[in-house]
Amino acid sequence: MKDYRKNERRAERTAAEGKQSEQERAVDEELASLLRGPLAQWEEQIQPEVPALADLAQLVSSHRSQQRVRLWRDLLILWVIGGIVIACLLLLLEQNVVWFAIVQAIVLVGAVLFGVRFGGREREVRE
Amino acid sequence: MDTAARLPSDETQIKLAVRGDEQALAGLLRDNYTILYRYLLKVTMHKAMAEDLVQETMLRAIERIGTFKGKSKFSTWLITIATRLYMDQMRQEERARKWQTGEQALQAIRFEAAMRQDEWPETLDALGKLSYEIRVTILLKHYYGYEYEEIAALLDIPVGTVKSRLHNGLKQLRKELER
Repeated sequence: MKDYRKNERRAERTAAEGKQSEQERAVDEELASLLRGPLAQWEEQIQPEVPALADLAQLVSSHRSQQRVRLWRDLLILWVIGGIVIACLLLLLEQNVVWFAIVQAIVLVGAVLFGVRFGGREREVRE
Repeated sequence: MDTAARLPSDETQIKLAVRGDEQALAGLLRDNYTILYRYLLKVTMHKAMAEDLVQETMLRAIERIGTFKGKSKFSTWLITIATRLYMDQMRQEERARKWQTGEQALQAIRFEAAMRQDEWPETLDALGKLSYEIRVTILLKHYYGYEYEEIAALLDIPVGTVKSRLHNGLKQLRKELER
């Protein structure tokens, strides 16, 4: 009896899925018939002015050098901030070990929470 | 020797570009400029915005060419970047407001077509009246031949949402065309 019900449910599910995919196909076909012709016709009319190869090469070269400058600036800022943080922490360690441990614990918890909240959310350009 | 023989093949050009060859990358960008512009004009239905996005897409491609693995065509990679840039811009309220001259922009495109004595089918007007999310989904599926799953991955949405956008898009198109 149980098997019979299970099979019946499965058959219902398959029928529903079949109906759904039929509907999807109908939507696809109607959209395609409505849009393909006009879009292809419009596409033929769109004739942009393509930049010269030399201009694009100039764009690539200048953007890359800008990127390099930005990278070095960011690295410099990172080193300066890193240096300041390390100096402060060493000073704190020298003055008060307990406060040093508290600060370390807070930073660790903060880093873990940040990792859990935002980890893996960065989007890559997938192919 | 003819020009075609002297030019590197697409594959070689891509390999060179990924390795950092600026001329090869410039060549690829030039070869795919028209495809990219046409795609963006159809998606945005806004000439100035399409031009702006072509520029931004090319800059992004220059920055990320090192990550291109050649699993897809170069033009598909550019379309992916362009779509994400467009969607991100539209999601940012301020930028969206900046471009909120949709009807005027569409009129400008229509006017240009009329000046060239080209036909402007009603269907394109109806397409222009759809929301940007629905329009992008419809174009990717029915003009560029992407699969539901590919569109879902590209737009960061579930497959079900892709299907419902297509369904709603068709309903809205029908309504617009009946008017």
